[in-house]
Amino acid sequence: MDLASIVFLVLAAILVGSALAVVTLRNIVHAALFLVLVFGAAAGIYILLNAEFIAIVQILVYAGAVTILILFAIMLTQNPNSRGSNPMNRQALIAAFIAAALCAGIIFALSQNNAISAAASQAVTQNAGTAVAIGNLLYSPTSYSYVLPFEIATLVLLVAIVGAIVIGREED
Amino acid sequence: MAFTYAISGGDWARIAPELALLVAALLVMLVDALIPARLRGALVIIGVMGVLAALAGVIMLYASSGSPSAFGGMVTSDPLALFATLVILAATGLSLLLSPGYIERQGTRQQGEFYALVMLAATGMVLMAASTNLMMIFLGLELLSLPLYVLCAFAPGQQRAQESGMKYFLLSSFASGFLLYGMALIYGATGATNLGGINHFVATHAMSATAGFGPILLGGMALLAVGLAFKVSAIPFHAWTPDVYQGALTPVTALMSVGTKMAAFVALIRVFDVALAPVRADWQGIMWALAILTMVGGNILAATQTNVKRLLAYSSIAHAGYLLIGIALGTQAGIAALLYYMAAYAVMNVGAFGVVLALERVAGLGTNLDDYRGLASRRPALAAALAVFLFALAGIPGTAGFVAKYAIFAAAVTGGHAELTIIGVVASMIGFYYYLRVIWAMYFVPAPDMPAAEAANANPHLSLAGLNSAVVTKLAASGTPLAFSAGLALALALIGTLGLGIFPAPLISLARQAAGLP
Amino acid sequence: MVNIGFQIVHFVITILFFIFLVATNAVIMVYLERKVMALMQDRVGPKHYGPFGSLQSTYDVLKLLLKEIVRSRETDNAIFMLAPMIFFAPVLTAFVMLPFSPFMTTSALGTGILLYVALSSLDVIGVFMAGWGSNSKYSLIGGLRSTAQMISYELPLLLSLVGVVMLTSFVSHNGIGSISFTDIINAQMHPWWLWFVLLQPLGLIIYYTCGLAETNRAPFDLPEAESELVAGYLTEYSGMQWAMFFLGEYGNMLIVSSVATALFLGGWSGPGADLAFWHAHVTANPGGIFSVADLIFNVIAVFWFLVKVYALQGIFIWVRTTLPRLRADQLMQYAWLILIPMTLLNILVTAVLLLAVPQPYTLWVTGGVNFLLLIGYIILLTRAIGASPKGTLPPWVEARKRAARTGLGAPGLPKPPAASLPPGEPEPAASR
Repeated sequence: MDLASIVFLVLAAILVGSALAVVTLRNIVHAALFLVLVFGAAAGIYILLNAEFIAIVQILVYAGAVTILILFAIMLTQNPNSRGSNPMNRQALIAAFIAAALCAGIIFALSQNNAISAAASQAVTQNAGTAVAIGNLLYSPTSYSYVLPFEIATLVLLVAIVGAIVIGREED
Repeated sequence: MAFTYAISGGDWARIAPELALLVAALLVMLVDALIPARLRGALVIIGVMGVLAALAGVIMLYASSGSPSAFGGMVTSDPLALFATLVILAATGLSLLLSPGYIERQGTRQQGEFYALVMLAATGMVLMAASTNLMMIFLGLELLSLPLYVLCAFAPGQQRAQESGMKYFLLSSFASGFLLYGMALIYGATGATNLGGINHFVATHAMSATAGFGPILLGGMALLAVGLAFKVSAIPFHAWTPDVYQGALTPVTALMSVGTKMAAFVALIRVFDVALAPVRADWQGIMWALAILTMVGGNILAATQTNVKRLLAYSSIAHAGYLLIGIALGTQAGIAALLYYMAAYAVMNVGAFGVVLALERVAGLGTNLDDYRGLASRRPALAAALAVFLFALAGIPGTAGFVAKYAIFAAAVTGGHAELTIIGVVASMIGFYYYLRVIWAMYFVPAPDMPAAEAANANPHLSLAGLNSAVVTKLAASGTPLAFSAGLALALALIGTLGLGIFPAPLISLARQAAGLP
Repeated sequence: MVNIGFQIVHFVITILFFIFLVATNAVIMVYLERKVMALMQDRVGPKHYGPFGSLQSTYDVLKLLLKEIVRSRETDNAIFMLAPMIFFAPVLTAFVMLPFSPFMTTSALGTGILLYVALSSLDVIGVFMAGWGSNSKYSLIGGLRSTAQMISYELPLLLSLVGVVMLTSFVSHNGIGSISFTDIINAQMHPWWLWFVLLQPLGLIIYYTCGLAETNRAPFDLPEAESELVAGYLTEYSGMQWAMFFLGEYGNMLIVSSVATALFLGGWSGPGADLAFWHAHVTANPGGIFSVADLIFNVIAVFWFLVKVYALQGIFIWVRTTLPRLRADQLMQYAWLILIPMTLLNILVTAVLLLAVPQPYTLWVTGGVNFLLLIGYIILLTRAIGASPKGTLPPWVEARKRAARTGLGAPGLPKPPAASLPPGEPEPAASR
C-alpha cells in the first residue's frame, strides 16, 4: 500500500466519521463544527486527486464561508449550550434509506460507464485541477464553451443578493 | 499553453433577446438607485422598453441566417426557442403593464427591485427555452426560479405572501434537486450533457436491461420528468400551485403561470421529444399518465374553489394537462399544437389575471367568488373582459382557446391517441362548469346586501393593513380605478384572445415552423 | 533531479525555520511594540531586564508557560479547549505557501493566493469557537463582532489581490497569469524590480487595511475592545491557551506582511539578490548539497525579504499608536461601502487599461491611473470618516434625528443636539 492510499483511507475515515457526527450529535453547534471537518477532509481527498484548485475553493467557500454563516446564524438565534438543539426526527430512517439509494445510484452509474471513469482518471493524471487548467477550460474551450454558464451563474448570484436584500431590508 | 478566446460576437448576437432583458434589468436597478422615491413607478417604462428591445432581437434572429447554435452548443436560437421567447415576452410585457398602481396599492415600496426581478425572471425563462445543454437548462431554471421565490414573498407584511414565497422556495428547491440528480444520471448513462450528444448516444446504443446504462437512463428520465413536471405543475406534483398563486402578487402569478410553463415545456420538448426520441417507448407512458391525471384532476379540483385566484390556479393545472398531450404524443404536430396552445394560453390567462388584479384590494381581499357578484352592473367593462377571457379558457368557439384546444385534440387523434382526445373533451366539459360559475356570479347574481365595506372592516387583516374605514368604503363602492397601463394590457390581451381565435393562421404557421413542420 | 535525501533535508530545515520564526517573531514583536509605542508616546517602555529591557518579553513567555489554565465550570469544554489550537493551526499551515527565497519554500502550490485566503478564513472558526465555548457574554459579543469583521474584510482582501494577478498575466510571456507566490515574485523581477506596488499602490493600501482587520489589530481591534468588552473572545482564557491566541495573532501579522511583501514589494528582490551574478563570480564548491553561490544568494534573499516584512510590521505598530478604534457600525460600513466598491473599481480600471492602452505605455498608464485612484480613495476616506457627521454618529442618534426631521416616530421626545447626548442613554423606542 502506497502513501496516497494510506492518506486516502485516513481522510475517508475522518470524512465518514465526522459526517455521521453531523447528523447524530445533539448539540447543533458541535454538529456545525463537524461540518467544517467534513469539508476539510473532502478537500484533502480532492488534493489527492490532483484537483488542487477545487480543494482550496472547497475550503474557502464551504469551510470558510458557508459553515461560518451557519454558525453565525446559530450564534444569533440559539442559547449557548442548548442541548438537544439538533433533534433526531422520525424521518431519519427514510432519510437514511434515500441517502443510501442516491449513493448506490451514483456508484452504479459510475461503474457502468467506462467513458466517464476513463475521462476522470485522465483528468487526474493530466493535472486538470490547477487554476490555469480550469481557467482555460472556462474561457478557452475545445468542444464546449463554459463562458455562458459561468456568466449565468453570476446572474443567479446577483438575483440571490437582490432577493436577500429585498426580503431582509427593513422598510424605512 | 496559450490562451485563446473562442467566443465570437456572433455568439452574443444569438442571445440578443436575453441580453436585452438583462440590460433592462440592470438599468432598472441602476436608475432606481439614482432617482427619488416618488418617481420609481416610472421604472416600468424601462422594463417595457427592454421587452420591446428583446422583441426586436427575436425579429432580427428570425430574419438572420446561419447556424442557430451558439456558445459551442450551449444555447440555440432555432424557431422553437424564438417562438417560446415570443410567448414569454408577451407574458412579461403584459405583467409589467399590469403592475403599476397595483403593486403600490399592495404597499410595496421597493418597486425598482420588483421590476428588476421580473426582468431577471424573464431572462431566465428565455434562456431556459433556448438551452440545448442540460447544464444550461438547469441554470436557466434557477435564474427563473430565484427571482420568483422573492417576488412571491414581495408584498410586505402579508402573511399569505410570505407563505407563498416560502412554500414555493422549499418545494421548488426540492424539485430542482430531483431535476439535478436526473441530469446527473443521464450524464452518467450517456456521457454527455449537451442534448445532441445524448441523442447521439441513445440513437446508437440499443436500450436493454442488460446494457448497464439502461437502468441509469430510465432513472434519470424519471427524475427529470418529475423535476420538469413540478415546474409545469402537473398532477401529482401540483400541490404548491394554488397556495403560491393565491399568495403571490397577481402580476407575478400571471407571469409565473405562463412564463415558467413555457420555459419548462420547451425543456420537456427538447429533452424528451428531441433528445430522447429514440427511447420514446420508455417515457411516453409517464407523459400519457401525467397528461390524463392533470387534465381530469385539475378540472375537478377547480370546480370546488370559491376564490377566483385559486380557481385560476387549478385551471392552470388543468391547462398544463392539455399541454402535456402535446408532449405525450411525441409527434411534430403535437409540438406545434402545444406551442400554439401556449401562445393562446398566454394572452387569455394573463388577461384573466389582469381583471382579477384590477378588482383585488390589499392583502388579497376581493378575490373571492362572492366579491364578483353583480360585477356586471358595477364594472361592466371589466366584467365583459373577464367573461371573454373565461370563455376563451373554457374553449368557446371564436376565441383563441377554442382553436388551441381543437389543434391539440386533432393532433392527438391523428397521432393515434384518440383516448387522450376523449378524456380531454370530457375534462373540458367539467371546466365549463367553473368558468361559467364565475360568469354567472358576475351577470346573474345581484350584489350582496351587506356592503363590502362592512365585511372588510370586520376582517382583521384589513385593519392590520392600516386602512381607515373611509378608504375601504370608497374602494368597495367604486372599486379601485384602473391604471392606464393596466387598461392597455387588458386591451392587448383582449385583442390577442379574440384575434388568435379569429385569425389563427399566421401564428399556427409560426408554431408549425418552430416544430419543424413545413 | 535532486535526490530524495536532499528533499527531506530541505523540508525539515524549512519547517524548523518557520516554527522558530513564528515563535521568535512574536517575542521580538512584543518587545518592539512596547518599545516603539513607548517611543511614540514619549515614555521609556520596558527597561529592567536585559539591555534596554530586551529580555522583558522572554520573561513574559516564561510566565505564560508556567501559569495555571483556568476554566469556568459552565464552558462547553471540548469547544473551549480546542479553540486556541484551531485558531493557531491555520496560521502555522499558511507558512507552507510563503517563499522566503527560491530555496526556502516548502511547496510548489499553484494556488498560493487562494490557499492563503482559505486559511485565513479558517481562523474565523477558532474565534467563533472561543466566543461560543466560553459561555460568557463578553466572549460571545466579542466572537460575534470578530466573526462579522473577519468575514466582511475577507472580500476586499481577496479582491484587492486580483489586480496583481491581472498584472502577472500581462507581464508573463504567454498571457497566462498566476496565483502562485513564487511566480508572482518572479514576474516582479521581469525587467528589473518591477515591484507591483508601483503599479497597484491602491491594491497594497487596501490589502494592508484588510490585513489589519483580519488580524484584529488596531484600529480594527474592537473584538477585544478593552474598554467595553474586557478582552472579547479572549476573556475566559488564561495561561498557554491565551498565549496560543496571542501567538496566532502575531503569526497572522507576519503572514499578512509576508504576503504583502511577496505580492507588492517584490519578495526577495533587492540589491545583491541575483543568483546569476553569484554563480558567475563565486565558483567555489566544497562538495556539499549547497554551492557557496547558492548560499550567499539565499542569505541575501532572505535578508531582503525579512527587511521588508519587518518594515511592514513596523507599520502595524505605527498605525496602532496613531489611529483611534473604529465603532462597530463604522467598521462594517467601511468594509462594505468603501473598500469593496473601491476594489471592484480598481479591478475594472486595471483590466480596461491593460487591454486598451497600447504596448509601450501600458504599465506607465496603469500605474499612473492607479496612483490617481489612490489619491481619490484617500479623499473619499477623509470625507466619509472625518468630515461628514453622517458617518460618525451612532445609528440611534441618526434615527432620532430622522424622526425629528420627518415628524414621525415619537413627537414627545426632546431633541437635543446629537453631540451632547449622554453616551449611556438607552436607544429610544421610536427609532425604528
